[in-house]
Amino acid sequence: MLAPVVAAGVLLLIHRRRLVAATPLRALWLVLLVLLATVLASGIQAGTVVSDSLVNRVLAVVVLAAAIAFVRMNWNQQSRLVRSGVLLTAAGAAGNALASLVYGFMPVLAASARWLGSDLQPGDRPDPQYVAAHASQLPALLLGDVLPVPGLDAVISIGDLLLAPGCAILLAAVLAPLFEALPVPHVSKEVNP
Amino acid sequence: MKDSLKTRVYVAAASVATTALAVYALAAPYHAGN
Repeated sequence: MLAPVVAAGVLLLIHRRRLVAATPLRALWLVLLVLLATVLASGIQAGTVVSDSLVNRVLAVVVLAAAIAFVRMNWNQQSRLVRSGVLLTAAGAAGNALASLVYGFMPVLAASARWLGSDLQPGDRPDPQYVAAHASQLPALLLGDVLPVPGLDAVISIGDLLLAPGCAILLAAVLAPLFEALPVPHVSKEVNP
Repeated sequence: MKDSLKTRVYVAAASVATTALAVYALAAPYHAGN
C-alpha cells in the first residue's frame, strides 16, 4: 500500500509544475466518507446481526456513488495528468465495488490463491469480505482478485492496478502546492536619517 | 489558515496517511495467508 506514496514522490519530482498548474481537486471529503463507511462496515461485520453480504453490498453502493460523484465534481479538471488520476481512481474503486455488489463478497480466484499456497476451494468464504470463485465465473475473472503477486503473497484485481497509479497522481496533486515557496513576510526597510 | 511551514507539513502528512488508508480500504487485496 506504500507503492502509491512512493510513486507520488516520483511524480512530484518529475511533474511538479504540471501538478501545481492543475485545477484544485474537489470533493476530497468523499475519500474520508469512504474510509468512514469501511470502518463502520468492519464494525458491523464483527457483530452477527446483519449478514456479511448485505453489509458488503451497502458498502459497495456507497463506494460506487462516491466514485461517480468524484468524477462529476472534477469533470472540469484542466490538467490531463490529474484528470487521468481522477478517472483511474474512480474506475478502480468502482470495479472492485461492482464485484462486491454482484457477489456480496469480493470474489477471489481460488486457483490464484492456491498458486500462492492457500488451500482455497471455490465457494469457500475465508473472511467476511471474500468468497472464492471458479475460473468459469466471468464477472469474478474481470472484476475480482485474480492476479497472484508472489512477493506480497496477495491476489489483486484489475481495479487494484488502476487504483494504485490513480491514487499516486491524486496524492501528488494534493502535495504539489505544498512544495511551493512559502510567502516571504514583509519587512519594512529601516532608513538611516 | 496561517500558511506556515508547520501547517504544510501537517497537511502533507495527513494527505499521505489518508492516501495509504484509502488504497488499503479500496483495494483490499486478498492475502493468501488469510
